[in-house]
Amino acid sequence: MGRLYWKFFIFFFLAQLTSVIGVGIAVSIVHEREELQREHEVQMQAQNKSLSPPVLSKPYKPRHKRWFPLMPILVGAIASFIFAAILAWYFSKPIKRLRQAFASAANGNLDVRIGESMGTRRDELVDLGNAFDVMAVRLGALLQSQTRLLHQVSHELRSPLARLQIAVGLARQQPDKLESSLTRIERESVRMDDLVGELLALSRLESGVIKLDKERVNLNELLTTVIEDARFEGEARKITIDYKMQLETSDTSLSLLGQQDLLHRAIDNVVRNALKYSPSQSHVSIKTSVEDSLIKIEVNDQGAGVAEDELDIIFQAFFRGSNTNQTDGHGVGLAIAKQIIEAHGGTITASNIATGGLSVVIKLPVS
Amino acid sequence: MQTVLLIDDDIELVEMLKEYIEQENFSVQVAHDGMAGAQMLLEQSFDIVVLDVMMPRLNGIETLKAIRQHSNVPVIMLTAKGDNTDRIVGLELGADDYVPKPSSPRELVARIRAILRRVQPLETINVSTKITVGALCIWPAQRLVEWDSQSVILTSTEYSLLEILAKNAGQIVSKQDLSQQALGRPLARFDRSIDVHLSSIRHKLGLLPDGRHCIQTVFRSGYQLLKS
Repeated sequence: MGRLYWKFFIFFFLAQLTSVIGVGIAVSIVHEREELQREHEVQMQAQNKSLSPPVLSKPYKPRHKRWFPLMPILVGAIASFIFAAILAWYFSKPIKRLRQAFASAANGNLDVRIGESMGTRRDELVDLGNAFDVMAVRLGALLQSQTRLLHQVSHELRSPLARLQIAVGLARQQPDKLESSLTRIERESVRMDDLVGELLALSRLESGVIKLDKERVNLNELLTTVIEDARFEGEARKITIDYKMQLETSDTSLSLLGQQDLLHRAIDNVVRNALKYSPSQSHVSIKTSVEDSLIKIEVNDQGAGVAEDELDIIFQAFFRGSNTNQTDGHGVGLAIAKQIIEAHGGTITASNIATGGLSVVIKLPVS
Repeated sequence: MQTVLLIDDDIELVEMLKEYIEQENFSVQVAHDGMAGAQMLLEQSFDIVVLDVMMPRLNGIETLKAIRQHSNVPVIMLTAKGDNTDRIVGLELGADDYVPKPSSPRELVARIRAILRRVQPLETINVSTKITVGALCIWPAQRLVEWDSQSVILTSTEYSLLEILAKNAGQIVSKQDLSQQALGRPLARFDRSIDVHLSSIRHKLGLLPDGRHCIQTVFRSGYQLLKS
């Protein structure tokens, strides 16, 4: 039994004892008064009978000693003792349980749940317990995702490091081919630098540190530059990119409030992703339209698509579909795109096209 | 020329590694995922397999299981540094050794050489030479093992360890010596390879008449193959 229990106990016990004794004293006073009255009446009757003058000189003296309700008070004291013990236990037990849960959470064990151990009671203490459970679940999930991310980051950094090691080995083994080995080493170090940069961007976006620097963005212009870059890049593998704009209104400029460079990055990442997983001599088609004050950008490729059960998780960092052997890139692009789009109040979803390929749809609210 | 099969999903890495190992006078073939690798092993024979643990689809451990179902080819695993579970699981499933990734390709080639040197039957051994310890019979020339006249299938590392113990039957052989002779490398700190290999040999061999295992662990010293 903890300190709190004894405090509760003494407090309740004293309170109940005081009230029992108080009632006892009150009862005994009332009792005494009634006794006095009765005595007086008896005297009066006696006087009336004997017609003797009233005896004023002789004060009233009780015939027996003062009546005090000792038995009831004793019983009350015992009852209050028991009730105080129960009541103290009733209040201190959930608090003790909470304290233990917090202590184990502080020690890193976030699997403790107290909701069930509270039984069927319903009060603020139970609410507190439930709030703790919710907190523990949330913290556990956050911690787990952070650990997973860290694990993946270390793995992801290892791949370029492994290639670096082999490139160095090759340079040692064949000094005559030094130049090509050095080119490889350089490429790997640039790749690692890019990866670290993207990771920083992603973690900033995820933690919400970046405050959107909103301005009016002309999505039309933005898309044009993204597509120009993509066309240039696709040329080598003979991938064509067509761009269709379907507008209901005559207004040909799609514009919204947002941060231009971030939006550029998000759309660029999605288009590049489509390009990367496209086979040579295929099409990437980009369509924009406005539906119910939402700007919809659809990017379709003719690649292998993504397994149905993986459609939701392709926007998680470092996810790589099992349909591909692609090892270029870091697997962070779509995760960054998702964070940016969501920061702008939009949504991004992926689905497989029946005829083959992946379709990524970005929806951004017109502001 | 000895043949090496490289199974790793990192295409660029495999290309460079192939170039490196080929320069060291091996013939190298590559597979970019576990399924393809296991398939290639069915179709042709290789002297040694280098297998990456982290792969999409069929991962390294599963690939190893598939390979071990019909082949005792020596397997070296590439495991992430510090990932002990993968290592132990791999060794338990019959991998011969592991090399951390990333590490220098020189290290990998040294390990390949060490294992191949061991596996190659030495021509100086007489074909009929036989080591007998109790119910255990070993033919070093063919690398065959029998227990109670029943043939026992061991991986090449398991065989090498058993052979060393059998040659020193009744004596205690330290883990350091076992590692040096069977794996061709000194024992690293916290290295459990030898223990894992020996525990899997124990499972494959029968018990002595008195119910004991024929290979005994001698605390802090090493291992001992009981003579009787």
